[in-house]
Amino acid sequence: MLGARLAVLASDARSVLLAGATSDVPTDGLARAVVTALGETGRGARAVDLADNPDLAAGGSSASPASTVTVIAGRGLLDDPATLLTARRVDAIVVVVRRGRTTRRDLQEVRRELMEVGAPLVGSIVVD
Amino acid sequence: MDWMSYLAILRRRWVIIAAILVLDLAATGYLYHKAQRSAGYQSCLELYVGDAGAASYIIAPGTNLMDTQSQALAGETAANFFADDVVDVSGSRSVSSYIQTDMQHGSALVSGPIAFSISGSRVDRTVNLCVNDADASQAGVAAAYLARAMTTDRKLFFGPVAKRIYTNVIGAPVTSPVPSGHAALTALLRLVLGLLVALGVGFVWDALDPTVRDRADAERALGVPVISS
Repeated sequence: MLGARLAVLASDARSVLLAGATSDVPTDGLARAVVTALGETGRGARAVDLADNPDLAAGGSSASPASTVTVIAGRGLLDDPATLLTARRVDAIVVVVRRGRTTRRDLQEVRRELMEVGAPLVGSIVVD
Repeated sequence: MDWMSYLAILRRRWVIIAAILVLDLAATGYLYHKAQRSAGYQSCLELYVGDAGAASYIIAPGTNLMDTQSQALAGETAANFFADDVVDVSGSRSVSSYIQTDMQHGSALVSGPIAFSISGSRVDRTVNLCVNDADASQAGVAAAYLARAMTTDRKLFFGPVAKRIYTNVIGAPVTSPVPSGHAALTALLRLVLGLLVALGVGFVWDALDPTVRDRADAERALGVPVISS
């Protein structure tokens, strides 16, 4: 279901950034789950942690086949400049929201920031 | 907001709502039990309080009413104040200990523990004092001692002012069961009020919570659909 909905919302995307509003939202495990879900829809995908690949923020890309979707586990869009820079370079952004932790004000700020830099926000995932 | 939204709030805030309801139940149970326990017998007496230093309202033949009017009115006001004092003093701890001491030493009717309460009210210069006790005979005995405390022994409690007051028992103590009141109805109203308060606190708590609670919240804030939750 997750993979199918993401495949519909970002059908042409080759890179998807998963990031929270702030860095206290863990995204690496979720990135692996998204990769698995995309694999179930027939799309090849791999997970990359932004912390391990800082060149992604600078515009570099890790080598991968053209048909493979790179799912990047980012940190906080509001408090991590590398994540915000990466957001400008990816094809789709999915904001990870923690139920009962992430504030609505932070999400509105994220939306405003992403619109300002022209980043393609496609959806969100709400986690506990 | 539809009903599902309200139910979702109740699900989210059930802990605080349940906590308030438990407190409400405990408080209601305690107060109901206390009301039931304290409802026993009351023995009420009536006192007339006057100002010994003021002129009487009964004007003798040939008296100039204009000359005595201001003094009579002053006496009336003072008597009312004294009557208020009688109500206040009768409920004081010193009067209670006076009655308790006399009951312990001077009455064969006292058998159980002495646990009475005194209440009073005033209408003009007439004071109505009631002693509540679980035991009817003890209530009567305590009321008799209260009458003595407020009349012949009043100087013990009023000091020099007692010389200006005269007090007479115009209604001897009459013992009767305390009206049961509406303890059950009051308890029910307390429960309903507690439930409303609990729900109100739950909804206000939810409204003041700045965090994202559900997918609708996230969709409104970000303006994009939730892929998974």
